[in-house]
Amino acid sequence: MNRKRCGWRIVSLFGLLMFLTTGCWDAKDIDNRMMVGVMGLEKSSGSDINVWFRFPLPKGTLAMSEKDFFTMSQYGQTVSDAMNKAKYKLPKALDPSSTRAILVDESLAKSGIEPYLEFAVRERSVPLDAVVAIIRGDMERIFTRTNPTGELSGIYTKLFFETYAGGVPRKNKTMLWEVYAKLYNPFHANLIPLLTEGRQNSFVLAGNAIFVNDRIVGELNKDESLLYEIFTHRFHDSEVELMSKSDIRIVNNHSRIKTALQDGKPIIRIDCSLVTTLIDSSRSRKQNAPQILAELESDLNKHAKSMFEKTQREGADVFGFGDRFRSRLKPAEYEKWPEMFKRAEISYTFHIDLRNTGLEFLD
Amino acid sequence: MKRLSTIGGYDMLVIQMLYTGAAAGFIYPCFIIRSTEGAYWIPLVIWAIGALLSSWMYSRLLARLNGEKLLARIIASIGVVWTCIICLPVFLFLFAALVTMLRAYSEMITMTMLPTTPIAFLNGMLLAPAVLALAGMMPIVRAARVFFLFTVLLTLGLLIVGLSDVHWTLGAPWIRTNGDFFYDKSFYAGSFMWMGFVITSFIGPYTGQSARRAWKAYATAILCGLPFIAGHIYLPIVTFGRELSKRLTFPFISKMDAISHYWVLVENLTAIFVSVTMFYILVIMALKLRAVGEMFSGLIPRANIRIIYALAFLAVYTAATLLTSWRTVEEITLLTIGFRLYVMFIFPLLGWLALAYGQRVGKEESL
Repeated sequence: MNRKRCGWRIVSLFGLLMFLTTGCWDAKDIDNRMMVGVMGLEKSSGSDINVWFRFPLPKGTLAMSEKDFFTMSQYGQTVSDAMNKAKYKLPKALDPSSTRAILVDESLAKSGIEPYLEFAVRERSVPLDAVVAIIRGDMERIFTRTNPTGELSGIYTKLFFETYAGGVPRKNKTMLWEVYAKLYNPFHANLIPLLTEGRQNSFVLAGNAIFVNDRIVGELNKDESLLYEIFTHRFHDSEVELMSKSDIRIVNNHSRIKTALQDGKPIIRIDCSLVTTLIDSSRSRKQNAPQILAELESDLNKHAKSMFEKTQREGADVFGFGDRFRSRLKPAEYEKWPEMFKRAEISYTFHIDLRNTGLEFLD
Repeated sequence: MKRLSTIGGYDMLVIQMLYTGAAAGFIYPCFIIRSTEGAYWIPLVIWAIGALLSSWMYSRLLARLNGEKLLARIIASIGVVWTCIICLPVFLFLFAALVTMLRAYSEMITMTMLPTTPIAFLNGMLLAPAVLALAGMMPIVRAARVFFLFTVLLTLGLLIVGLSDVHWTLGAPWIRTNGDFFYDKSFYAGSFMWMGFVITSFIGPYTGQSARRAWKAYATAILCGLPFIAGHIYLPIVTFGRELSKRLTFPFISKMDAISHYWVLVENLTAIFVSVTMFYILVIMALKLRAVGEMFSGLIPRANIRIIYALAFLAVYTAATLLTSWRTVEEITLLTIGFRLYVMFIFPLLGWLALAYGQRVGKEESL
């Protein structure tokens, strides 16, 4: 009797294990997927958009193809619509879960990007840590040209911004979640890197696009972008500041920001300490250390002035200073911040130390 | 016959910490974030005080059991009919808690990892807790001890990694509150977070000493668990800001998705979070099923214990599978607020009165 019962138990156990052998409904083998490396969003006729996809090709298929990637584009009313339509053309499953970068055409960014990014957060289809950049130029050429340095599609764009690879402070690496979060934050506007089509490379950094809500309203040049990085504690690694007579490397910085609200007017004071080294001195005109530092300070003041003029004129607080006023304002006043930022009194001081002059003394 | 065994202090701490992990990660943050414009730690602390008060009331009640089970003493004092009446909301709370926990977790898996896998299949995970509950309290405790060792470490690791890309200014206001959460039902909906002691009170016998020990362990668990709970709420806030966090169904999952580090070997931290949560959920659902099973075996002593657990499994599985949408899960959490408040604060008073009445009748009869 006991043996019979035991037999039934074993049969039941194996019956339950059969469920495991059925596999998962969502399982798709990796060799049956076409993984998107980079995605490009471009404005099309009317309200439609054109979505570009670049898929890296596995080594096994390279013999049949000249390139290590495959590019295709698809029109649609939304990104999801374009992705669905693209599936009609593909032999394998379209998999955007490994997308490393999203490139947005400048004309689309001028008309508003929010409707085209929501799908990524809502459906969790595209990784939130994918880098985002604005493209000025021909999206088709960028997507169809072979990467000059040979990296896989998608990885190239990611490496271009990553601090552990080709990223430098002026490039202002911006991830999808940052862009999306700032679309809803009344105190913090977006600043997204602006790339132009390159002659030798796929693209070149042109500056950073200033956003108000989800539209481009202006642009910071590369030097102003450096000041943005310094003031927002995003500065990493080191960056070279090219001056007229000598070149200085900024190796470290620390910015202390003090804020106050006086009669409804925001007061923002930035105290910035920079540690620098000299990497190249002028041959045409001899300068001593104090003269070099004075010139650097003058340059930084000039860039900071033009940067704040551009952002305050548009009411675009790309620095997130407004977040420091959250406690001082009532929730009903939060939406007024862009107007308050226009009237904000912003002052800044630089304390620059020249740590060394390299392996050669400065006469 | 299975040996009745009381839960030790460390076991209680482990179970309550697992309860914190099971409840804090996915539904709770969105309720608290939506409940107030002020500082989030204030509603959190208010509920923690409420939980300590409720558990103290229960511990005073349990201290009077003299080695018996809570329901058995209440039945002996006021009879089966009155016990059924005062325990009906408790049963409804436990049933709703089981259904929403199972369905919410299945929906979380659907939203994050397996979009086309049928909910009916995912809900099948209830089988493991049902078998564990049938095996008895000590197997649950042993499983909890094992799971505790790695789940808490992993959760701690995820919270520490989650400190990247945070901007503390986004968390402001840190001090200010106007008490707006008191007028928001989301604040009360989050009461499920603080029901850990209630569930263990319905399982196993208690003495004065074990009740005091259990309350001390629960208080310790609350103190240790508060940073965990606050981390699940504040990390998305100081990363995405209040405005976006309010719009997110699972803010902590989106936070995990946003983490990007060259040195983190695991690309998908969300998968780790979901897996760790599964271990929390398995133990806590087993605990809740055990409480339901003990309740019914107390009310219907002749009933076959296996049939009770099989029916409980089928009822919870069917109800969870029949829930059509996430919105329904949220509505059930809101609709059962009354039951939870009753179970937390009114039932221990009624239980105390029932026991006092039983003692008085007993004395009169002995005279």
